[in-house]
Amino acid sequence: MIQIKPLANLLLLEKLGTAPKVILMASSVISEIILFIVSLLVAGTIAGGLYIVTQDLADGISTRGAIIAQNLRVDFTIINDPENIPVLDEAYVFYIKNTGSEEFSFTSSTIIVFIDGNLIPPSNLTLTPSTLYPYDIGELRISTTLSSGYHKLVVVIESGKRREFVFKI
Amino acid sequence: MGFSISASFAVIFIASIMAFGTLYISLENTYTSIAESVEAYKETFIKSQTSHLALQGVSHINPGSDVSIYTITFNISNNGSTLSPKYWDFVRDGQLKEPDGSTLIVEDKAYLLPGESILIRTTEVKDQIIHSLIVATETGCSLKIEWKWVWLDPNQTTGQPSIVGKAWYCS
Repeated sequence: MIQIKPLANLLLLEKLGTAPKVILMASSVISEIILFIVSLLVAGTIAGGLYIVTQDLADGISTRGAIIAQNLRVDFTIINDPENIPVLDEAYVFYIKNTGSEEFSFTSSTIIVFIDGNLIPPSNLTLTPSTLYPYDIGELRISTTLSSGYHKLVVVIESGKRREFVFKI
Repeated sequence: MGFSISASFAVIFIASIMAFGTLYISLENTYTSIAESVEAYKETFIKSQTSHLALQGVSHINPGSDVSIYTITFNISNNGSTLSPKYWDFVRDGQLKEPDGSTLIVEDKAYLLPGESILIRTTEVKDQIIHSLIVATETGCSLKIEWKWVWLDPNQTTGQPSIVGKAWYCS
């Protein structure tokens, strides 16, 4: 097997003429193009990643901001006479007035009710109507037994806003 | 090699500008939205803090000693900021009651300006039970009035309603 030394190899190529030079130049251009494409792909990947992360961040900020903004606009009040809570079909009736500027959902799955710190199961709640628009009154019926004396009702709506109401039976 | 680096840098630079642009727009929109809501919340809070209804006077109509009912009229004055009676609700003896033009009559007023008064009229039986009326305003504050019928003579021929309690409260 014949081994050609690199220097000798170059001298040989020089003697052969310009054709190998063209081959050398072409291979250099191809290398440059490959390098260019690879670098563009890498840059594109980084740019794409940056875009996705930023978009996620922006969406998160917008969503959170919208929730905060909505929470500030939602408000309600329990307008019962604290000394005279009506009872209908063995259920205490409470009147919830939307005093905010946004409607909110008014169903047993979106409202949490506590009386004296005890959670009232959703099955014991009857709420009408299902959505409370600004200035509307909703009726909350709680099927439970209460002893005579003072009690504290806590109503928490979907947005997390809560109102307390102390009443007497 | 140099061209590749420049091109890559240009791509990343443009993407960075676009990303920061998106982030900025999102932040600005969120800020505007929250700022508007905070402003609305402040307005609502100030309105509830500055609203105040007071019982200015009471009058009654007694159809006669042989009639078991009477009509009582409450003169309620606005000692606070402007309110809208069309958004008020009424709780009569614990029950939510809509003005019906007979047993509960509310003077028709779109607004109740500071210093103005409104008349609310209701009918009741001449008994010794304490009756109540709650006027729940749009601010979440309410005026509660309690009264009962008092006989002025032992024969129970003449009598008049007497105010037992009144309260303005916000919850």
